[in-house]
Amino acid sequence: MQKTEFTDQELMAYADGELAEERASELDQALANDADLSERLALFIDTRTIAQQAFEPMLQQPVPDHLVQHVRALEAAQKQSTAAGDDTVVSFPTRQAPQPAASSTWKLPVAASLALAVGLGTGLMFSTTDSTSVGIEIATLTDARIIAALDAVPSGEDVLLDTGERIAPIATFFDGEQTLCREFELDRADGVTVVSVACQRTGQWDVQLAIAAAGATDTGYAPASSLEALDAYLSASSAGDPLDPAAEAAALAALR
Amino acid sequence: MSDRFADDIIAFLPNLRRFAISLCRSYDTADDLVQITVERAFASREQFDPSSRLEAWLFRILRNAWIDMVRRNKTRGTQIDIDDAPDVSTVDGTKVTEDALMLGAAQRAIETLPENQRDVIMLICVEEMSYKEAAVVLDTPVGTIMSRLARARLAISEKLGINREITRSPSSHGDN
Repeated sequence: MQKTEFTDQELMAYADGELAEERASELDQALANDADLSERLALFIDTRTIAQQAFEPMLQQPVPDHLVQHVRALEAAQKQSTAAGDDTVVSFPTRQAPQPAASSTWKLPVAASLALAVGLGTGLMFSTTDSTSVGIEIATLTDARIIAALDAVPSGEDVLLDTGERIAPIATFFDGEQTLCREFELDRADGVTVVSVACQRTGQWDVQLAIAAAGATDTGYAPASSLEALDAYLSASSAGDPLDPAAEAAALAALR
Repeated sequence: MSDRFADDIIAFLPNLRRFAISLCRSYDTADDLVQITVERAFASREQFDPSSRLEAWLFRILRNAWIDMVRRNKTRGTQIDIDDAPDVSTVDGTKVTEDALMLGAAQRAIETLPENQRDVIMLICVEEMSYKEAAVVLDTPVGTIMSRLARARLAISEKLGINREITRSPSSHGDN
């Protein structure tokens, strides 16, 4: 009886469930009385199983939170851009700039078109309490110490508040509407660092964005991975280049 | 009003990370790669063909992002911090069973394969994609995928010493 030959690739395809049906049934029959063939097939079945098992534990490793949050942020941003005007969506001040200025250093390589990632709705911003702590109420910027710091502390310096928090202005810039804005970080006493941007409107600092970053590290600065949302925001609002120290001092002086 | 697209991506993050780690051999770079992948996925969401599998589409984006990254930074070969990561083959760092040793050996055998063989193993054997899907992800003809995959598996079994007396088929294909 003539023995049907099967190539390695056919055996492999069979093991992977990819061999054409007709050929597969021929192989079924041949396997029944050909031990060598079964051995050759076993190699392909075994290697698949081994590879699968070897990398299975990697699926159990926890996915870093920031990746999950990033997806949610992208989802929120997309929802917002498609459902503009929908009141039920937590809204961000809608000042979608057309295109980031070509000279901007805030370029975001990939997601330049995304408006923002994490925001606080305007509703939240003014849900003030008369608590004197600087907890999440940072969004309201009713805290005199933070306001004072934003009004006066040069970027790159920081101020320790008597409550143990630290506020550090990072940069000062004008957005696409020529509104004076400051990016700053607030290290809360509980170890959470809030990265935020506030802009001057009608004499007040309005929080545009607040991102809770991972716990402050030795350096006291938020890890870079938390800043992509910020970059997206800066890009979308056509933020200009950070002001140099002299220009910043002049801009802040003009507030008084 | 949760978004199925986002939910599906999140559910698939572990697989994306796993493939990314096998590509770049660095946890940090892998996470960057996954992040770029999800950004691109959202940005080009309309281009996704709902009749195909989201997984395959995401893998393709990830793989292309990796190629871009290599072109830009030539990072490959410089970042090998995967060795610093907890060894998945040890159980709580205490008792290493024989099975676990085998897993570790298998992992190493696959990681040390030539890159194009490793990729097909990861996509087809580990991630259970079809030959066609893998061909699309890797932008390579199905025939080439199959010959790489067969060679990779012969190599793995050889490295692990699990090969029996293999009578090579007379019409085994050569490289292509």
